[in-house]
Amino acid sequence: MGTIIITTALGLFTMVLDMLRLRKIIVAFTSVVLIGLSVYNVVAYWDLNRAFYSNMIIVNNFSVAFSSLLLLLTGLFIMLADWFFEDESQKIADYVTLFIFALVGALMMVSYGNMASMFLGIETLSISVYVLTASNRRSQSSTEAGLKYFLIGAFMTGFLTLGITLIYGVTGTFDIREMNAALVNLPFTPILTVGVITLISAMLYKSSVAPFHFWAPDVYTGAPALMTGFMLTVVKVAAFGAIYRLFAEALVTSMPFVEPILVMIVIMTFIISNFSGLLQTSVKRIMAFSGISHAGFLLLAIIASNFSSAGNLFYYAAGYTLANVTAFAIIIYVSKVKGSDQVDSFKGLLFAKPWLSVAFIIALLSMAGIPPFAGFVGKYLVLLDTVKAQYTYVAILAIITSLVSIFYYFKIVIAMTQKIEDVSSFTNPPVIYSIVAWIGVMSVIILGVVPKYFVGLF
Amino acid sequence: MIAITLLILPFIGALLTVLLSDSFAKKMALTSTLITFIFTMKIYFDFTGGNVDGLVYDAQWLQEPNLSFVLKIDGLSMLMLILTNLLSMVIVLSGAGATQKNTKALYGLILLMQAAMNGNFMAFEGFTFYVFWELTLIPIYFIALLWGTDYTRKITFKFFLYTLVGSFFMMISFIILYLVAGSLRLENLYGLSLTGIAQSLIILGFFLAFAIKIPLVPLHTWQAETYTAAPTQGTMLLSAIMLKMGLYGFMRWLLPVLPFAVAQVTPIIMVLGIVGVVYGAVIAVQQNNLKRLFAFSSLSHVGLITAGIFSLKLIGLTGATVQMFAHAVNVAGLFFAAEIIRRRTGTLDLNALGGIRSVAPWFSTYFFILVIASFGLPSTNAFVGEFMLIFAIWQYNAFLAIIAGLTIIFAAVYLLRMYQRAMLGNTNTVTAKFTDLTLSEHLTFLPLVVLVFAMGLYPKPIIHLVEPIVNQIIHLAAI
Repeated sequence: MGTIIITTALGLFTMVLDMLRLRKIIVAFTSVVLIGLSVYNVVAYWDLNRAFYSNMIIVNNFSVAFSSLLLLLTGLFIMLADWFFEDESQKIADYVTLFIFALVGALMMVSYGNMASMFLGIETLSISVYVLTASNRRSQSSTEAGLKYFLIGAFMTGFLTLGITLIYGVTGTFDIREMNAALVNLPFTPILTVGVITLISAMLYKSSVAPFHFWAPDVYTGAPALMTGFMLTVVKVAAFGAIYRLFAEALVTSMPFVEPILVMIVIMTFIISNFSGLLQTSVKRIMAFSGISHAGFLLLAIIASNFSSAGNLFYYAAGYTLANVTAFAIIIYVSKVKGSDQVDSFKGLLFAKPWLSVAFIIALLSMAGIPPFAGFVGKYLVLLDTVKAQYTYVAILAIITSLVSIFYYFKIVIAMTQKIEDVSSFTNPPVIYSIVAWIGVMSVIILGVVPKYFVGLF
Repeated sequence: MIAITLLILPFIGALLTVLLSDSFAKKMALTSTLITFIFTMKIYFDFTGGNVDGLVYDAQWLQEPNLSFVLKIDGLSMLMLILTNLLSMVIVLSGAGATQKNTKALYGLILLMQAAMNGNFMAFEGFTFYVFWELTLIPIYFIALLWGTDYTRKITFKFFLYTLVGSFFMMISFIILYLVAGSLRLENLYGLSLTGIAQSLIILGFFLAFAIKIPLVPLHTWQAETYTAAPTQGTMLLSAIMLKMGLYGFMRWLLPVLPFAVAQVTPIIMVLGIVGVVYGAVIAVQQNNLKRLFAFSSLSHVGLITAGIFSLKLIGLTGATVQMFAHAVNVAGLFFAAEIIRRRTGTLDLNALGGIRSVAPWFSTYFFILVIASFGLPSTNAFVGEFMLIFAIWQYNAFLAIIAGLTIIFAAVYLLRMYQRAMLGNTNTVTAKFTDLTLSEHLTFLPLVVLVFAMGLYPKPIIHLVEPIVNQIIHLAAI
């Protein structure tokens, strides 16, 4: 709970810093505080298992681990903000504040104990992200993305409220534990069915799995690169944290009924995302489809663990998001110096910026599921559980579509290794970009080589 | 602890090579491979002297699921380790005279590859094996992509994807094995009772992975292109060592673990192997490009080794190990000879060559020794292995043995014809200025040529080294 309060205060304080004309230190200050907070969060709340404000917020190991991951990711992304917003540095405080408020929403989404606080979290996150998506108002695609995201988001919020209301109508409570206890004794009425399905649809929309993914490629491509990275990592992790809590603590009795639908969704996600990814020429769009495919794996992690363990979910999410941090540090850099995020603009990067390229290649290899990186171990653990849960065909499909995904990841790798005449357009990025990229890479390697400290935590 | 040193040494070498400057890279890499090789030989002498302390490294990697990191050196691993570390040294040395770009990255990758292959040959646990198996792929892909000829992008990607298809399905095999056995330690995988469907799924995954790496017909279509397009050091790594990972995989992971399924597929694999022997030879005859010719010749020879392994006879498996070593030595030497010709003349086209023998006697001698060794002239290394292999295939099916035996003799035709066209006759404008070997090139050939005769005349140490393991494999594989 303290973490959420401090983060909110940090968001407000950022605005004060802006008023005090201390814009130059905002990025450094907030990112250091956030990363410090992610450590503090673990130290202070691990194994605490407490509920706050009459069960509105429940802090347990699950929420602590996810909160720390979210804090770390946001901290890393804010580090990249200074150079990204170089041309509009007078607005830096607005952006950073919005990132932090989105983070507050995300933190609530992984630690809610009540449908009201979940709704609050989702809305806090969404509204901040709507604004961030549309923040580049000179760019048509950015405003378009913002509007699209907002319209569909608002629509799905309606579904979310409807679902919560219907379930409330049946159980008479917003508290997830009481709800679960009530559902155990209740028959499966049509109202409840509709409620559960609308609620789950709304949540799956946030996590951008097929067939709820139609907004995702456009929004991810249209948004400024930094926001794309933020959405692909923080928003996605928060959404899956919320989904897991919902499945494991609130709707346990509905799961046998929902499971076949979810398996269908996973299968659709794997096929649609990976085959659509093949056709893309924009790296941001490739990462968008890659994100959808990884969302499929995250959902599969929840299904395969029988809705009762989030260990693999957390591990997979950490491996995927940290690789994404590295990837986006480089994507932001290239799209800024080249003015384009097409695959072609990555040509010659390996010769111009070898160390950054090696980091990017490792991140892509990890996402593609090649050992010894975290992405591989995550996939292995998820697929192990999948086969154990008698979904061998899903595991085989996952393997085949992962092979398909190699094509689009290696489209980028191969472009980077192509020689070009003039590499002078790759000017030097700020040191912080290399640092962030290598923090991502090192964490992916550490997670992959010594996973025993990160697997099966809860 | 000793086992893990063989991973750490090349890895440190790779790090140092990358961090130092380009001009030091080759020396650094050579020093590192030399130290690793000396260390390997020390282990070998300890091992044969009966001192087996520290040859096992066992650490819990994950509690749930129960995965461990297990390295162990037994006779078969020992042979493969000597092979890997000796040839890594030769491969690093072979680049001494070449002008290469970004040398530190290239040699760093070669050493990384060496570490991964060492791990692969020492792994005694499925997950460890899988990680190292995949890990070998990344360095070789980038070596072929970045230092290969100009048109390698598509070819190397095809190679990468091909191998990845195999290994991804092997992952499913290991997952199913894990769920049955509760652990992936090799000793727990022996003697499992598996259902028919599980066996066929598992064997399919393993077979794809190993057969693509070897490669067996009809999964060979990546091979000739990749061998030709990759830089020669990459080709040597691929053909001399990496290919053996597949054969080793058959012996270590397929035969003893899945005896019933193996009994079912043996006829198919035997035939595929022999088809490979014939197919490789027939295609090799028509090649004008030296590297392509050696690639198909290699395809032909490994088909025979595969067939020998699946004969499940003591002499077949022993012959296979001998021949694995011999093939590695010979093929590395042949590709290096091709590289020397390319360095001096700029071409690998047989039509453009000729008369080199009159200007480069030393080179011609070494090359000739490697050629006669490749088609298995008695008293050379390949003779021993091929004789044993054909003998074992004969015991399985005389008809297959006759085809294989005749085709292997056919190797003499295309190899000698190649030698004649490239080396004999009169010099032309391309080859007139062919200079003889430099010191570093002499040093590269020397260990290979010595091994050709040493193994050919006295193969007993190798047979002695692997015999207990081969016996164990046959015992487990016999239903």
